[in-house]
Amino acid sequence: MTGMPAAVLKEEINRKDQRGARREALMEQFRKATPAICLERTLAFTRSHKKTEGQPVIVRRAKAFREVCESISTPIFDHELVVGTLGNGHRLGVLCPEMSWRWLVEEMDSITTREAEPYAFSDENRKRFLEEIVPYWKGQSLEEFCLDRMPEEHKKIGIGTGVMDTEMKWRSGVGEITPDHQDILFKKGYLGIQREAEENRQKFDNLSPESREKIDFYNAVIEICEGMIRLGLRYADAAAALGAKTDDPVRRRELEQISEICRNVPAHPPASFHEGLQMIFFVQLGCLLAESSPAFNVGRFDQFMYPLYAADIASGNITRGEALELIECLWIKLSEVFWLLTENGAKYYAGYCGFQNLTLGGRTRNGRDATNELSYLALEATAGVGLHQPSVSVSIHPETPEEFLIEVCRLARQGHGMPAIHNDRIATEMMMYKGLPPDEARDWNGLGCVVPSTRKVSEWTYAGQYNMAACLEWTLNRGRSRKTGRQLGLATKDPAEFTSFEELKETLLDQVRHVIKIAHETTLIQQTVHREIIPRPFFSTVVDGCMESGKDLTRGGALYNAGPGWVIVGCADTANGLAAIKKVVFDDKKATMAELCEALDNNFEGREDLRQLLLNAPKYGNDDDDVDELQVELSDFSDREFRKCKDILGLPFHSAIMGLTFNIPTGNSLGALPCGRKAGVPLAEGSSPHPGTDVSGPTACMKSVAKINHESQPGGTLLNLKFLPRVLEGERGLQGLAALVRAYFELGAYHVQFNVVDADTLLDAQINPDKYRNFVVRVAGYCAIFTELTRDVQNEIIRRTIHETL
Amino acid sequence: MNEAAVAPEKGRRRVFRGGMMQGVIFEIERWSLSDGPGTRTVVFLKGCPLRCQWCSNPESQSKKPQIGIFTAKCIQCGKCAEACSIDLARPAKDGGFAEGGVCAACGDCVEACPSRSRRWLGKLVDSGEVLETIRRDMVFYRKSAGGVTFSGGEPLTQPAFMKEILEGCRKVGIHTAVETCGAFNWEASEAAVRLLDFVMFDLKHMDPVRHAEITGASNKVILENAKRVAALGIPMLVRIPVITGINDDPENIRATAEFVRDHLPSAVGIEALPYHKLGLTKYAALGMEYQLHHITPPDEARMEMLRGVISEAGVACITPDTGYIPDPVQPKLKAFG
Repeated sequence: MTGMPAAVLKEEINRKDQRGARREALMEQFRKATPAICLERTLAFTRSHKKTEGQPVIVRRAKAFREVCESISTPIFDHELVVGTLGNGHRLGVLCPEMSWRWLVEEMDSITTREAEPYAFSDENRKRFLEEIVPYWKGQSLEEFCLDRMPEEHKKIGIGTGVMDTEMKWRSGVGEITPDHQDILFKKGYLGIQREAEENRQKFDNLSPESREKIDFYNAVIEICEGMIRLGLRYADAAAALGAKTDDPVRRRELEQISEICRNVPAHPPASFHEGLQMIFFVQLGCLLAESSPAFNVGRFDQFMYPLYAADIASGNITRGEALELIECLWIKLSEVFWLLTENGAKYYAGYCGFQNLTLGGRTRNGRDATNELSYLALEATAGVGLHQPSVSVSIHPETPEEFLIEVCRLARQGHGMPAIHNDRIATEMMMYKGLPPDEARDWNGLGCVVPSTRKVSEWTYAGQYNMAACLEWTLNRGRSRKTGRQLGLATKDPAEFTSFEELKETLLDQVRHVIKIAHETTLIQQTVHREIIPRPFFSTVVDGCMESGKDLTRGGALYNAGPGWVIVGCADTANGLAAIKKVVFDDKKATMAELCEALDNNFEGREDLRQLLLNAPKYGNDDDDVDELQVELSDFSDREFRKCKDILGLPFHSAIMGLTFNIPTGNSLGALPCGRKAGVPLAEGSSPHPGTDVSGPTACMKSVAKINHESQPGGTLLNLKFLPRVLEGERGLQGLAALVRAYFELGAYHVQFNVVDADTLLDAQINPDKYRNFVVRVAGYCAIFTELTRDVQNEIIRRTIHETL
Repeated sequence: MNEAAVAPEKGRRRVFRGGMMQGVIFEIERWSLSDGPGTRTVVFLKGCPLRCQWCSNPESQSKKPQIGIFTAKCIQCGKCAEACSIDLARPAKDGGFAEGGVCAACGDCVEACPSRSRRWLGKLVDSGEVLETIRRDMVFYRKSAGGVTFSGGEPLTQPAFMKEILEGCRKVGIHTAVETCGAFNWEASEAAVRLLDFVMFDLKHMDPVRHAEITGASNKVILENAKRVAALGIPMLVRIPVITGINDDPENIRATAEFVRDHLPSAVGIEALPYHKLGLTKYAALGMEYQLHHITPPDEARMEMLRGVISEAGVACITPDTGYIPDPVQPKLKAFG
C-alpha cells in the first residue's frame, strides 16, 4: 500500500470493512438458520410423474426436474451476492422419494430430535409427505427395487451390521460428479447444450430401438436445459422485483445486478467473474435438485474461473478485494446446501455436509504448474469464512510454488482442517489406473472427501465399504460375530488349532475374499437397478461424451467410465492385530491362541497383562517394517481381489482406504481385537494409524503410511495427522509443515490433512457449544461444525487429538 | 527409584567392537522443528557434568542406563515382583520397591513388565544402530535442509562415540548439529566438534559464582569452549534458558549478549528459551526431587523485554519466526575426506 494517496487508502480500508461486514452478516444469517427438510422439490417431482405415466423413464425424470425448476420458491436473502436455494428456506436438504421415502416414514418421529443431524420438518410437510408422496412412490423406489433383488445372504452382512455398507447406493442417488465447466457449461451455457441436443436429435429416426432410445435421451436433455434456463430467469425476476421494493440504493443496485446476471446465466456462458460464480451455484442447485446425493464437486475452480477473473481485473471491472468478497459469498452458499441423511447415514457422514469438493493448484493438462492468483484468493476466502464447505483440496507437485504451499500450511494451521492436501503425481497415477490417458489424468480434481476423479469420468468412486477387522474377528471366532454370536463369515477352523501364523493369515484372507465376493454381487445388482429406474439426464448434460453418444451416464454414455470403488475400513487394526498375534503368540510364545481368544471373548476382563503385551507389540504408524509390511500386504490383497471383479460395463472394481466416519459404527459392531483394542472402540480412520498408537512422531507415521502402494488404492487414501498448535508456532512451524508435505509426497503417498487443535479447546466446545457456533473441525476427509456433530463423533475427534504422554 | 537402582556397569564401558563404538543414549526423537535448522532427528546422549535445577531431562544426568518407573501405566499385575531375584521390585502403584535392599538394576523386572510401566531410561547402543535410525528420515532432511542434532545430557561427554556417528553422517551428507552446555573436555572432544555443521551453545549465567550455584559448576571452561568453537568458524547459536528469578535479570542477559558480540564471531544470534515444566513426570519416574516447583515460566512480555536487551547489544534474536540462520542460508554439505 506504500505510495497510495491517503484518500484512496482510506477508501480501500472502508471497503475492506464493508467486505468483512457482509461476510459477518451472511454468517450470522447462516448461524440462525435451522437445517430443514424442504418438500418443494419432492412435491413438484411427484406432481410431474403423475402427469407422465407411460413415458420413457429418462424423459419422465427430466420433465419432473423441469417442473421443479419452474415451481420451487426463489427466495433471495439479505446481503447475498450469489443467490439460490433448494426451495423455501435457508439451509435445506431435499428428499428424493424415487430413491427412498421409507426411511423418512420410519424415522419421522425422531427426525427433528435425533442426536445426529436433526432436521426441522413442519407438520404441514409431514402431512403432505404421508398423504401425497408416500402413496405414489410405494413400490417404486430405488430402495425397494434394490432390497427386493438383494439376496438374504447379502442383507445379513450388508445392512446395519457394521460389516459392510452400501446404503448410499440403494437409498440415494450416485452423486459423485464434477460438472464440466471448462468444456461444456462455461462454453455453451444451457442454451447451447439445448441447441446441440436439438441438432443431434435430428440425426436419428424412430426406426430402431437404439435410435428411439437416443431420441428419448436428447428429449430429456432438452427438458433439463429448459428447466435450468427457467430457474435462472425466475431468479432474475425475483431479484428485479425485490430491487424495486428496496429503499437502500446500494442494495437496490446489487439486486439489479443480480437480476442481470441471472438473465444471462445459466442460459449463456458467464461473461464476468461474478456471473461465473453464480453459474457454479446454479449448477450445484441443479445437481442437488436432480438427485439429493453427496459429492457434486466444483472441480478446478482456480483453473476455469481464472480467464474471467483476469479479464475483469484487466478491464477494471473488479478489484482483487471485490473478487474475494464474491468468492466468500459463494463459499457460504455452498455451506447452506446439504445431502439429506438417514439415521444410519448420519452415523457415517454426519455434519450437514454436501461433500462439494473444490480443487486448487495442481498441473495443467500438459504438465505445467497451474497455480495462479485465484488459487491464493480461494485459500484466503476459505480462511476468512471458516465454514465447512466447500471441501477445499489442494494439489501439490514438485513445481508448486513455495509461497502457495506456505499459504496452504498457514490455512491448515488455523485448525479447521482445511485444506485437504493431495499429491498431484499420485492422483494422476490413480486416474491412469482407473483407465484415463495421462493428460486427462493430470487434469484430475478432488471428489467428495479425498477421492481423485475428473470432470471427464463417470464412476461410483464409493460403491460401499467393508470392515476388514470383522474378517479378523471371524478368523478368530470361526466366522461368528463376537458381539452377537451370529455366523456372518466363513465357518473356518477353531482358532486354537492354528499351527502357524501363516495359516492364520491365509484364513483371514479367505474371509476377506468371501466379503469381496458379496460386495461384488451387491454392486452389480445396484448398478442394474440404477440403470433401470434412475437414469441421470441432468448429469448427462454436464459430462463429456453423453451428448455425442446419445446415451445417459447410467448406460455408459460418458467419454470415460471407471469401475466401482470399495473402501476398506479397519485395515490398520487388522495389520496391528496380526502383528500382535505374531509377536505374542507365535514368536515370543507368551500366550496361546486359546488364551488369546478367551481374553477377546471376555473383552480382556482379568487379562490386562495380556492386553498390555498386545498393545506393546509393533503398531502401524511407527515406521516399523514388521507391521507396516502387513498393512501393505492387506491393502495390496484388497486391490488384487477387487480388480478381478467386473461391473455392468465390464470395468474392473478397485479399492480405497479412505474414511468419513466409517470407523465409528464399524468399530461399534466388533468385540475386542488382538491389537489390544477393546470392544466397541472406533477403528483406525482411513489409512491413518489407530489413535494413540503412533508414538514415534509425524515422520515415522508418514513413512509407515507411505509404504502403502497408494496408486493401487485409486478410490483414495487418507492420513489425518494431529498437531498441538504450539508445536507449529512461527514461520519455523509453517516451513516445517511444508517440508513434511513435500517429503511425504516424495515417498509416494497421496493425501494428508492436518488437525491443529488441542483437546482442551474441543472439550470446552463440548461444554460450551454456544461459544463455538461455527467452530469447524476436520472430521475425516471432510469438515463439519463441531457442535453439530454427534457426541460419538465429537468424542472420537477428541480421542484422536489427545497425544499419548508418558 | 534412586541411584541404588542404577546398573553399575552398563554405559561405563565404551567397547570398540569391529570398528563400532558404543555409547549410552536415552532417546531418539524423530521430527523436531526447534533443535536446529529444518526438520531434525534429535539423539539424546546420557551423562551431564552439570546439575541444573531446572533440567527438563533428569534422566540425562547420569551416564548409566536407569530403570524408570511410570506409575500411570502400572496395572498392578505383580509380574515385576515375581521376576525380581532379590524380591525388591513391586508394582509402581505400590511404590515400585519394597523397603530395604539394593537394586542391582539387572532389568529382569523391566523384561517382565507387560505395560511398559517399568522401562529402561537409557541403553547401550552401537553407533551404527544410531546412524541407521538417523538415516530413516533422510527424505525429510532433504526437503527441509534439516539433519541430526545431538543433545542430552552433554553429548560431548561421549566424544569418540559422537565422532564415529558424525563421520557416518558426513559420508551421506547429513547436516549435523549439537546442543551443548559447554562443559566438556576440549582435548577429548575437538575432533568431534570439528565435524559439526552447527553448534547450539547454552550460556546459563555469565557470573561464575552464580553459575556454580545454579548448575553445580563454574562457567570458566564453558566460556573458553565457546570461544574455541567460534574460533573454528562453525556457525553457532547461543541459547539462554530463561528461568524466572534465577538468570532472567536484564544485566545477565546483557552480559551474555555482549560476550557473544565481542567473543563469538561465528554466532548467528541468541535464542532465549522460556523455562517450562514438561519434564516433571520424569522426576517422579526416577524418584528424584524437583526443586523449582514454585517457579512460574516467564510470560511473553518478559521474554519480549529480554529480547529487546539482546537486540540493543547488537546481537540478533532467534525466534520461531526467524529461522535458525537469520539470513536464510542453506546449510552446506561438507566434502568428505
